[in-house]
Amino acid sequence: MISARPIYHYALVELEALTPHGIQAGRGDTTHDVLLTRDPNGLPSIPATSLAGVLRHLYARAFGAEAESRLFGYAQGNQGQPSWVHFTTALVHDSSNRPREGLRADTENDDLLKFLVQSKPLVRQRVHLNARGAAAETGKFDTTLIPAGTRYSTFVGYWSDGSPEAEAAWSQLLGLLRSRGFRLGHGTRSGSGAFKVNHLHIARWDLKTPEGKKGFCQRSRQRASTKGLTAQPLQTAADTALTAKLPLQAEAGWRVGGGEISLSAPNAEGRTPHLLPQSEKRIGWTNNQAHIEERIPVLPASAVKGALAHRFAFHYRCLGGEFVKPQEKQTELEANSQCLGIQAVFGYVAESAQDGEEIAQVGQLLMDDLYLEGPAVARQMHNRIDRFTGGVIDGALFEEELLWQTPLTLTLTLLEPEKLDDRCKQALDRTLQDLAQGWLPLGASGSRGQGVFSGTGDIQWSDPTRWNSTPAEQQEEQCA
Amino acid sequence: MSQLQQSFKITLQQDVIFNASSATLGGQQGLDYLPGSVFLGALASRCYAELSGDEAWQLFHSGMVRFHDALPLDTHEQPAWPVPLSWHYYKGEEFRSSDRTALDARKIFDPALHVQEPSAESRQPKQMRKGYVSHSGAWVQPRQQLRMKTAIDARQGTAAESQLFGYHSLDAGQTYLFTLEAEPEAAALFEKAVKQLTGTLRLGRSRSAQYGKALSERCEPGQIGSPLPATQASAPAQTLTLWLLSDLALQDEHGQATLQPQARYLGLPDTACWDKQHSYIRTRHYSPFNAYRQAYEQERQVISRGSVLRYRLEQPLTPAQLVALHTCGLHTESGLGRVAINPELLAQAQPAFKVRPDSKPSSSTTSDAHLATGSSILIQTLQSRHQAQQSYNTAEQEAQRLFKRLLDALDRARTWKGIPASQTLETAPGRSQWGIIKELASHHRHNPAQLWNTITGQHNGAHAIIGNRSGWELATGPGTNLGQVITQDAALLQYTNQRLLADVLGQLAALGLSSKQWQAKVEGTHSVDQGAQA
Repeated sequence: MISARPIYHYALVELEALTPHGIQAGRGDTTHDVLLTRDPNGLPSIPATSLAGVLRHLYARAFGAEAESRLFGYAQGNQGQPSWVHFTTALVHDSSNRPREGLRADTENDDLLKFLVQSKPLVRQRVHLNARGAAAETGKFDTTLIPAGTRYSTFVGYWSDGSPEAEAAWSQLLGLLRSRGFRLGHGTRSGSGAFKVNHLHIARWDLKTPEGKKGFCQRSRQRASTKGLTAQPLQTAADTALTAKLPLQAEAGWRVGGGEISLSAPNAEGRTPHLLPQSEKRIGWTNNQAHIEERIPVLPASAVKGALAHRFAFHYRCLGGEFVKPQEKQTELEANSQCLGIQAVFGYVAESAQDGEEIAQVGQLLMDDLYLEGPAVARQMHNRIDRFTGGVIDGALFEEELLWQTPLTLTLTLLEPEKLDDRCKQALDRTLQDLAQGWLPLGASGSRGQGVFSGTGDIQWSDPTRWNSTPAEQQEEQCA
Repeated sequence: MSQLQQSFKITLQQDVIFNASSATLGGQQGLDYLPGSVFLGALASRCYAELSGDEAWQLFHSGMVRFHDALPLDTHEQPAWPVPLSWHYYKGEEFRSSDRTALDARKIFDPALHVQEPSAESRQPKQMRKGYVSHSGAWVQPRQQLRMKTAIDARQGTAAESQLFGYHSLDAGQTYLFTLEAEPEAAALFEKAVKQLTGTLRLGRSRSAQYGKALSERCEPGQIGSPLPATQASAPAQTLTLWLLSDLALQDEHGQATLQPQARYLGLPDTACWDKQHSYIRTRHYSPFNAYRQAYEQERQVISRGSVLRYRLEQPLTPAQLVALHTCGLHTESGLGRVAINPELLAQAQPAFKVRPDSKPSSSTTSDAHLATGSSILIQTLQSRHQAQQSYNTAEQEAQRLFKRLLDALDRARTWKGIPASQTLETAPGRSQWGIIKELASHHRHNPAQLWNTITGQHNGAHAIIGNRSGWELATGPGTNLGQVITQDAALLQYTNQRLLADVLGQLAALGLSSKQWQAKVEGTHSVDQGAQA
């Protein structure tokens, strides 16, 4: 504390993961590409630096660089100021919905902790596809994730000087916890890292008064205790994001591959299908007790985003008249990262043409992983015909498990739609239309009839007036 | 009447800092002993005000009461003294005992008294300057550490400009022997001083913040050895050896500080002569800080502790002269000028260390004692982490063992099928096959039984991953094939119900995918790059 800022704000924040998430440890091991940060108990935790970094960027975007420096501090040459906001590590809750500081003896006895302490609770197999639908060179990788439903608690502190601006900064900061841009960990643009705030308890102490001093000295140090704090109703955050909902239904079977466990029972011979849709476990809560739910199928956002990105790039180029010249050799379209529309909507990582340094920009399109309750599951046998004999090739019989005619609602969020030009908006509209008309299959085996979805209703924008792109008839003229 | 003397055992309860010099810029070296002036100051801060002028003069300024430097105790709670500068060892050679806690008398010598062997022509003597030595040869090096600190700007909360500094401190937990001496005339004041200096003391710099706390306990007679090193039983009549146990501040006949320890400056008879050739001397200068005056006192030029001064005598010294020699020079009240006269340790060219009569190690030095591990949660956490790491190491070792067996099996396959070394083994498993194993190890990482069934095809034999296809059926001998190296490995079969199985197979597959050895063995010698590392 410094005498110029005697007012201390304190908040206890309880977060719950809406999607799988994880803070990467920066390394993998021999068998997997990604390991996650853990606390000394081996349990997943969210480091304070992650929270500080995400909120700092959100604050800068919402309120400007100067306000950001005033709140979070800066160091420039000899000038500097520390951060007035203090963050702490977010610790995970056990199956009785309690976080606990320090070393725990119950990580093997508590069901939830036993699940979370595994080094790889969820593994997603992912692949980077190029424009030809084939895997890019060294594009196969896997990510490790902590399941959706995990709860964390953290303390946030703030030293204020009592002025209206300083007090407002605190409310603004807390409001950002509910903004749609608040996502933690890796893969935030690929469906991971979405969190919601379950509870917020706050307190304010003026250390120039005896009561304030007492309250500060006796403040709760344990995330499981709300002593001295009062519950704060959560306010809707005002942010500039725009959401679109697209109701779809699969026409037949579809599968986003890489699953590990079959959703149907083994057949009479005890065999399970070779190709399985992705399914995962989540954490559910009933009366403050956690339970690990049965596996349910999931549509990873990364699968949708990949398909949308490639089709979007096509439409964007169409709208701009950027066609491949007949006399040119067909070039690889990893130049997607050079496409300005892709850069604006989906983000990119590329080498700068000037100095070869890596430059990157995060995308503004957000989607969450979609969990599907009780979809119909089908199995399909395939074999391979020997072209010489007309008979079946031995050992080439395989079975595929599919999700059948599943209805789902795709939700897309654009964080800064005003930054998109008309061409981007039109390209995105066309892409979503392709999806709704069944021209953009999702998932595996798109070339043999799987993954076709059709729209069961119109796209609903949260604020259509902010998304006025050129109507369809004018688009036809432009593309001719 | 004999002098009054009381020894105290000082135990550092916090780190303590004593600066070697009073410079304000640059790296600060800390002292590794407690100067006597520190105790003088501690006593003065407690009772100077309540004494009369004469009493204060007698106790603190006259030299009748002397506060000697506190020197470290060795691990057997025996006093140790600054290593005499006369001791040398040959550079590059080990001069310590096997456990490094004591000096090896055979490797230490005094060049002034030592006859150099012919083999020593090329060996360079190096002076010993650091540490303390006790009668038994134990070599004490007090532990110190440096901490960087800065001031925080109260307005900004950031580090203040130009306020970075370092404290070089003595570690807490170490024990020292402090001796208070007095002339018989000052007996009453001596008693008072002894009483006040017992208990908790705050010494050194930064006493109010993190540093300085020490516990002072009176020593019973005989509890700890004599604070002075033993004197030679029969000193040679014509030489005098002085071992400075603390700094020595001398004055010449004009009252100026001098660094030349001429005999007359020490009160020796005129016939005595300083034997420069056989003496070892180092000097330093510093300004002590007077905390009462909050100012530095006059700079002192001193001959450093550890110096060895030798004098040639025409006739032996009288007992009175010897007694007077025990403390010489200026500032004796602060502990300067304490010397050991004709010490036994310096009598010969090589020291003769004593065996400790009744050694009772204060801390267990034998490592045979089995440390009982507690059952605290920290221990449990560390143990389970250790087990997890062991498990990972086991998986790694097993994978490497299996991989080596597979590489050997490839050689056998070549021999069995008569495929020349330069030709590719067409039917050997390739990257796809290794990739499948890695994938399965990941999928079934929580279910080792399922993993083993899938790999070996125990339920659906025709569909075993390591079965009659994909290269694993490559014959390596009569009735044996490559796949059996894995499926029939005795050690691996022990893990088929353990999570370790997935780790082993996963790491094995990773070796198959990433190691160039596999590729080289399969493709044959014509494709091996001679310089490639495996």
